[in-house]
Amino acid sequence: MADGIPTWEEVARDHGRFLYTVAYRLAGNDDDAQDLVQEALLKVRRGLERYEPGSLEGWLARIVTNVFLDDMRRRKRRPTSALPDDPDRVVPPAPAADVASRELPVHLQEALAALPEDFRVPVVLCDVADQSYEQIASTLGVPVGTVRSRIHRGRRLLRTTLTEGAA
Amino acid sequence: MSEHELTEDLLSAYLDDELAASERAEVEARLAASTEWQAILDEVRATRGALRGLPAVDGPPEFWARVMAGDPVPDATGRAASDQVIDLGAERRRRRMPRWAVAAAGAAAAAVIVVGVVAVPQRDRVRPAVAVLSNEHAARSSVGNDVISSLASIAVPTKLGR
Repeated sequence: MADGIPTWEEVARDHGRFLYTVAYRLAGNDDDAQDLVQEALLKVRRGLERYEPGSLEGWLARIVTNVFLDDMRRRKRRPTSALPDDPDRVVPPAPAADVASRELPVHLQEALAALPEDFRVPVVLCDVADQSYEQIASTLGVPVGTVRSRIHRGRRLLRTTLTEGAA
Repeated sequence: MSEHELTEDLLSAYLDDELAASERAEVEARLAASTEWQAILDEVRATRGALRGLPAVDGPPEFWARVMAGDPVPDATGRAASDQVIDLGAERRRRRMPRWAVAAAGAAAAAVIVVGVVAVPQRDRVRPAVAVLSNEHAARSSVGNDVISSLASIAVPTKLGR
């Protein structure tokens, strides 16, 4: 590592697990996660000379998220599921009647993968990549208020999916 | 913040410690007064905790072996690069030949053509010129009335100019 800038090999070796975890939580399966990681590492290698020492994992999360969103845009040309037209208009459901049941099913990853990407991405960046709302807003190019809303609604939708799946 | 702006979206931000002190105080006041908000907060807290408790994921060892062995992607030039990491404009400018270099390359190509058309055929000419030599020989033979000389072959050595 020179001047605080890691080599590509150091990034892959020391932060590969973080990169793969974020990619996997975004994509929901190994095949797509591997594609995302490969593409992200290619961008990392090309972009290392312009990397300014700071939050390396924040930078990596941003890269892999952009790769994921690019991929999603390409896939939308052949959509497989109906997504809400305006994710910010999705109204979260009322609290479940049986709120005493706090145990989440083991299918959390499946529920996360089923979450519309407009909610999944900020939730993953917040709860998996541990990014601040400001970092997420910068990555996604949306206001912090939008991030706040989508994270909350994403968590609510996730909870609903899990409780309905368990019923 | 006025009361009507106090939406439940703030509850996640409250758990994530992403609220200003004044917002935080308002949310706590609302939580103290609303069982519905308390229920939502409990749900969101449980979901958030479960998400954060998800284990890290290691890719398959063979995947990482491939990655560490060489290029992560052998040829990704056809893929889009939409983030800020790769400046495609800069990349194209880097690859593009500057104008002076284009002009120099053009001049060099023209020079090669000129040499190919003019110089190279000259090198392949027979020296001395056979036609000229033959004419001179015939003229000398006719003047001298030398029968032998008029029958002799042209004995001047010739060579290809390579």
